[in-house]
Amino acid sequence: MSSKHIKWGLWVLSFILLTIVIIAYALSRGEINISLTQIPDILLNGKGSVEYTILRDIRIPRVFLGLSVGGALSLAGVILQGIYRNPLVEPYTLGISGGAALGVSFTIVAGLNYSIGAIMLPASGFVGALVTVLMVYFLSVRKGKISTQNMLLIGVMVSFIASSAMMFIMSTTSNDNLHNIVFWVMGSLDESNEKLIGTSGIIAICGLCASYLFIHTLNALRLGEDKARHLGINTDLSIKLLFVIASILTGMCVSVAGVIGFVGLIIPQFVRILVGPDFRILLISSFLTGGGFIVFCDTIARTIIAPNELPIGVITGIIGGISFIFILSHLGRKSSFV
Amino acid sequence: MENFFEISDLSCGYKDKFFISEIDISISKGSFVGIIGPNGSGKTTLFRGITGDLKIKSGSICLEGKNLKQFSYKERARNIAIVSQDIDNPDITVEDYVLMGRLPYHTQYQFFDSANDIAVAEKYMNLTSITHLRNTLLSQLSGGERQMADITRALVQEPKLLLLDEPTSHLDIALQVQILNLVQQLNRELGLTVLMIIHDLNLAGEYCDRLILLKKGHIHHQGTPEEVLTYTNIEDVYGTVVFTQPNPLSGRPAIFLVSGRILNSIKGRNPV
Amino acid sequence: MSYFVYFCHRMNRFKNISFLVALLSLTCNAMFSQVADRIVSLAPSLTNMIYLLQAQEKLIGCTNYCLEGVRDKVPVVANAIDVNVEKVLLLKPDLVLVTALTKPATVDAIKKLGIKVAMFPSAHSYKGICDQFIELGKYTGKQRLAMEIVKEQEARLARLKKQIPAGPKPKVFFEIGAKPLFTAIPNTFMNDFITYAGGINIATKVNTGSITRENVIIKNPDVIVIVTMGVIADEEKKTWEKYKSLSATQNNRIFSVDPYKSCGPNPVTFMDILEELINKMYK
Repeated sequence: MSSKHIKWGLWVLSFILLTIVIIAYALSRGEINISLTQIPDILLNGKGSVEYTILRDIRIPRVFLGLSVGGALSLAGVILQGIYRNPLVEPYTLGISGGAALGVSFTIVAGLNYSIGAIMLPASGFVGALVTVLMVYFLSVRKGKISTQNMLLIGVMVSFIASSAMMFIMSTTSNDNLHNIVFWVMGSLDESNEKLIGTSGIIAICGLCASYLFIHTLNALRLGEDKARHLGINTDLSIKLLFVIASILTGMCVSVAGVIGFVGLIIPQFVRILVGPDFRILLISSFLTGGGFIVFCDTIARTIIAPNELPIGVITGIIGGISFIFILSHLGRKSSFV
Repeated sequence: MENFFEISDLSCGYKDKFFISEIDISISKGSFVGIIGPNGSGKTTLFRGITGDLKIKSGSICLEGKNLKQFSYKERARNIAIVSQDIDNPDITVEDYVLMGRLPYHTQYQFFDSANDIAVAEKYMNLTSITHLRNTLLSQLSGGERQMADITRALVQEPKLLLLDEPTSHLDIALQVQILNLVQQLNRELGLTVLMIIHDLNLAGEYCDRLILLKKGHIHHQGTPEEVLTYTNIEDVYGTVVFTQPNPLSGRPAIFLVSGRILNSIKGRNPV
Repeated sequence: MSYFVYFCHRMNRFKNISFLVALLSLTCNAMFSQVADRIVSLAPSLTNMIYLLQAQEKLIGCTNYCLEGVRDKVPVVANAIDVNVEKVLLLKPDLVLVTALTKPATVDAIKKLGIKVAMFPSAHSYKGICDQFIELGKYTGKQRLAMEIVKEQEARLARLKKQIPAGPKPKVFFEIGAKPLFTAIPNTFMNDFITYAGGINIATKVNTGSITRENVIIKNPDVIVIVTMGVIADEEKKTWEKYKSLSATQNNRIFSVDPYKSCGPNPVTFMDILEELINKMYK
């Protein structure tokens, strides 16, 4: 029994180490490469120099945001895959990203970011995400009970509706607005509002802690909803609360960083193959791996065609997509979900 | 007879479709009760009403005098353990699965199994002799082994009442006897009250102290196996002719089915 | 045309054959670049130029973004996205003015209706702006006025250039978009703002205009000019001021200029912006 716990401890340690390595990589690479050994000196003594500005004001916030967004998205993916017991569910399946993108499209077309401020973009994204979530939620609740199957279907439908609405907006607006909308939707960690970045971090950590309060539910749900209830889990309430947690995490990610696909889908699958299906190790592992993955992809996105920057969704899509196919075709040992 | 488990005037079912009603069952502590009846008589509906999977329309279910509605989810799981047929084929080892039976005893912030949890699991795995399977995945077990694991998990919940839904339906005769022997042993040695749905009338008659015979959503007859398993009751409820006779080894009623060939030849003779 | 022919008949026609041919081609030219009397403008920048040329009485249709046109109650035939081609047809214009921003499908549709279209692509330089201005002068019959205005502005340019102090040329970052970060690249008229103001554009290796903040910080411009609308300009200024290593931050040379004038300028507004730029850069 305790050998299992030792194994888990080792996994967590490995993921932390890997994340530290990726962070070091991310901080040192870019337009100009700053060697690792110089970094502490620059940060302590180099205030006012170009390297200091780049490290402190550009790369460190970006890494922090990447860890938060990657962690939150993966966590949301794990939670949703646990609730629905379906390996194809990811945070965006439920229409959350569609709603956020729609909200941002409105803002851009109405010029609210010009009249009120750039904060309107993440704000409207979050509002859009929340509205979609509430819609999906209320459409799937019957007599106070939630039907997970309905939720999934309704989520997919709402997602389509939101996409269509967004395409309508995009087809009837000026080229400039169109450019801005498309750029936003493609996803980017380029955010200069440090308060926003800090908030993302807080939400991500809170989400992690909150999800651990539901560890029993998640593990019990592996046996099915009925059996989980027979084991004393209030599945109805727990599923609703877990859904809320996943939605807030996703809403935050989408509104700050745009739509970064694949992370919420791939990372939980990949991590589950490594560490096993017990949620006690799965939650923290997915969180760390997701964060590291995003930071890694972001570093590639901003160095590969420098001085231009690829949207991060391109890199996560390519790496994620290829890895997923690779994993699926080599899957023999264990089935991937539950 | 103290009313350990009391179902009063229960009515529940599926909207606009099938309903069971006027169900009154009184189970005393330590008894082994079987629910029998033909397909569609309401056995599963009744079971789901008792487990809480189906909402009760009217009536009440009380355990030791307390209405089940007043139990919290966890309390309910500490008192009643359920062994049902649906297995999702999850990727979980037998040991981890059995340990899940301790979930009703975990506090909100308890992430790991306590030493007591592990000891309890160990004890029951020994009792059911499945310790050698502890690292095997559930999906790799045979039907009988899966059933044993499920029962072990239910025992680990240390319940007062054990509910079983058709525990023997997909098993061969050897396994059927093995499983029911185990349940009987738990009932007699641990004092576990057992309520079981079973469709095999012979097994029901052989192992249960009391039987409840359902017909079309109502109780047709309840009592000892001798009282319930008569050819008149069975013909009345199942619509088929049978021949009953006490089992020569145990004295419990045994049912012999009457095939068409025999029936035709009987019809040719004078009535006895 | 017939007057000239009669005149030539009266002259010694053999001696003046070449003169006649030249005259004929001139006349033909005059026929093709005939002055239009009923003009529809599908771009605010072009409407703007028409007013500058004092040819607004020829304007019979404009977009809802053409401030002067809307103010003077000129019929609106287009918004930022769509052109009402039917309405254009009903107005019976001689000439429709379009830019690179007008949808090609719309341009084709108008051409197919037999209406003459004059295309004014985005100017690559100030000279390009002047050439387009003069061309528009031709169409409106105000060619002479156009050339006068251009000459005036050239003189103004010379005066402005004298205001530029001697010394090393400041590095300039011209921000025209915030999310995504967008700048003016060489070979655009905006680049001329920088070079005429005596500066060097830091965005030389960038080819599409999108640039990263890190790149800007490394290039370390001495001046940052923000050309976006609304509140975003202030927010961008605050963001750049956070980066203490920037020369522009240290010298307090981060400012914005009028975005409307900067994006669709005519010779006069170009010089207005340039003047504002020079004032703020070298104060």
